[in-house]
Amino acid sequence: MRGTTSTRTRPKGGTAQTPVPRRKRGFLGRALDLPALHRQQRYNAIFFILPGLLVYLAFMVYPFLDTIYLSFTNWNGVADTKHWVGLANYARMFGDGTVLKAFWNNVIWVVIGTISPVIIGLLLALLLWSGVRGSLLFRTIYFLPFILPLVVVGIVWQWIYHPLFGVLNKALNAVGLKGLARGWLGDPHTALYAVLAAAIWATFGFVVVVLLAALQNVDMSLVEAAMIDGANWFQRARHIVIPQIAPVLTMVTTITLIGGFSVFDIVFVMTGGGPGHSSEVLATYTYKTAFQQNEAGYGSALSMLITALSFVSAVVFVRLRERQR
Amino acid sequence: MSKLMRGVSRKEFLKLGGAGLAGAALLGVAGCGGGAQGNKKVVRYFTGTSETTALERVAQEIQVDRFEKQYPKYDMQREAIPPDDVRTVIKTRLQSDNPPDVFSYDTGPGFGGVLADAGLLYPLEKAYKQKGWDIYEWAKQRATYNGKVYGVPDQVEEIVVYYNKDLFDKLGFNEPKTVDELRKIADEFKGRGKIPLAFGDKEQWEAGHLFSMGVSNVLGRKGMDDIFYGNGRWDTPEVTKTINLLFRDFVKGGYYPNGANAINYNDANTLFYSGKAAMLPTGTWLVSEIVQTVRDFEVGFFPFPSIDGSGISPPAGVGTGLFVAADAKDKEGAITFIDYLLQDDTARLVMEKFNTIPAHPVDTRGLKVPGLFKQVLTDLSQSSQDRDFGYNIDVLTPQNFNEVMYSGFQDVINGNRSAREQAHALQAAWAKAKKAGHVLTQG
Repeated sequence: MRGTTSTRTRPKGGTAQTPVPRRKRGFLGRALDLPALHRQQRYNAIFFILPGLLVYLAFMVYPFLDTIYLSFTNWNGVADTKHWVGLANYARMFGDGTVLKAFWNNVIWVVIGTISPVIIGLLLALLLWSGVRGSLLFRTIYFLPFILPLVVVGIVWQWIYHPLFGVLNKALNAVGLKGLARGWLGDPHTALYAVLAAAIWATFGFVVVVLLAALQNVDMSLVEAAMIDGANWFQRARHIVIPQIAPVLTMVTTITLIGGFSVFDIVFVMTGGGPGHSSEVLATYTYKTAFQQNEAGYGSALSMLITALSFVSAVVFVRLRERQR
Repeated sequence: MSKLMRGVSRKEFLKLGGAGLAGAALLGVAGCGGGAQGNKKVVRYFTGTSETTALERVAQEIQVDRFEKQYPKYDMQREAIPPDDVRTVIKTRLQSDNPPDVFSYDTGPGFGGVLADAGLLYPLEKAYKQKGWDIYEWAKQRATYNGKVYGVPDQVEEIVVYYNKDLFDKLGFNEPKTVDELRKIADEFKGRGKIPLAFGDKEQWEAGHLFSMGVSNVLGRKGMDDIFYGNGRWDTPEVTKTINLLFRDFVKGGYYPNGANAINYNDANTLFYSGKAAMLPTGTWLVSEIVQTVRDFEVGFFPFPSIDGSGISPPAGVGTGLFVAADAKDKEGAITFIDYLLQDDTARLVMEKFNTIPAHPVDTRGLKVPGLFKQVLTDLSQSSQDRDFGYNIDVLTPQNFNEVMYSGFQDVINGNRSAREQAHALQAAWAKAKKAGHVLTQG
């Protein structure tokens, strides 16, 4: 039987029903193909959505739009006047050597800081999943650094790297590698990588726990079938397990990838972008420019660059991943 | 089914919204009760924390308890945060609906000057006249922007080299008068396993102080004035030589701890306090901490010695100053508080407890202060006929210059930038600041 809400066949032996008028759908309803809502339901929806929406508009959308506006001005961060300078701030970026240096450092951070925790996390998750004894203990130990604020991680690692009192240099001295001992955070060749190592240490536990959760959903019959077919551990991981946890792997990678372009706190605490600008990343340079050098306009333009880079890299990565699948 | 689950009618929705708004309004009224608590007027003082917790307690006693005792009609609310953070938050605090009435902040054009330009400071010329504040004229100039006095400098500082007297005496060394003598002393200490100079540059401003000492000597007061107020330049052979001496030669000579760029100010101080380092280049603001911390040896200080026959002009000047917010709720209370701090008995108490030097004449007779601080007082009281004082550069220069100075010296220390390149970078930053009108003006 076919019928619509407006024209119904009369039931046998029954009385004729009043035709129910088709409810109008709003713009969003039409756009998203949502069912028409009763007025009461509409109020319900507004009631529940409005607080979150207001918070989002006030603390995300408005500041974002305002930052875009500020990026076209030469505002110093305190004065009432904001002079429109057009694209001058964006043009200035291309001639600013520190921006290029910071961008390059961000690229290093994104590559190493994304790949390392994901690979380490994946390997450890697979090991724990394969039934290692004390799996729960290891999982807890790996995850512990992640619950520490990055500022605390930075302070702890500062002490580890300390050129005079740090355990790293003391350990190197103790094993006869005195030549390698140095001021890790004060040496332009090692500062960025030393901070990266601390960040990786703080991140990989998260990857382990998330991937371990994803591994619980892996179809064991496929794994067993692969074993019967003679696939080794690496082949099973590569061809059976990883494809099944690919969506979660993509999510974890995307999170760390986006974080790579907006990294700030751990770099700021450990080196402040120094020595010189050797560990400067875009976010620390933006902070210094906007808040320490009173160039809020230029700082806003830099923050738009970070936003664009994070957005583009995340979209590109997700698209590539989807294409592979 | 509960009422909420069933749905919210338009009437109920409006009721709920109205109740929420009314609640928010009530909260707002309660939170913005103005500057009075009971019968007392609230004065909000925003400042940086003192060097040690003991000093922070003393600050609370003098700036809050004693003030309230003398002026019972005021309720002093003192808020102290780490000094470096004051620079970050002060702008937003002053632009908020509830700004501090009075606050402590750096006096240079890149600090107080920026706030004055933005109309965030209350001019104090009238208060100076009414209260008869007798701040040294040169110090007053540091808090004068566009011809108006906006601040009250509260501390005079000098940058010197502290030394372990016991170690010097043991090896028969006197205070060095020339850099060659300093090198001999440093080489000797190095040979004996001591760190000659406890210098760390992790926060970057420490190198600015070292540079201030060296360049003040080679250029003298006149040469420095020529740069700040005239057409003098930073990219001269004298300046380049000084940068090379302090940030290349001394690094290569092993006079600083290994990895100086990774050692922070407190760690460098600790090296000196623990006797691992023989000398410590820093400012007289540290006297109180040194007196409290160092128990095992006697500490003396000397100005940075002559460089290749130059004069000796130790950097001296104003540290922070007190400012009144343009939108202060109780300007009278803020001015009363500043006046209280400038009174002779309060200033003497501050000198005794903090070992800092006020920027106005104070009767120092009978002061109970440690020997090291007496030495500082004597040194600073020398007339300009005996000695020209130089400048602590970073409090007088705008932030774009300081950024180049700070990060650039780290690069020179690492060997990533030559002294000549750094001198040129300083000059370029200075020219940019001058063009933007962000530099000091005289008079």
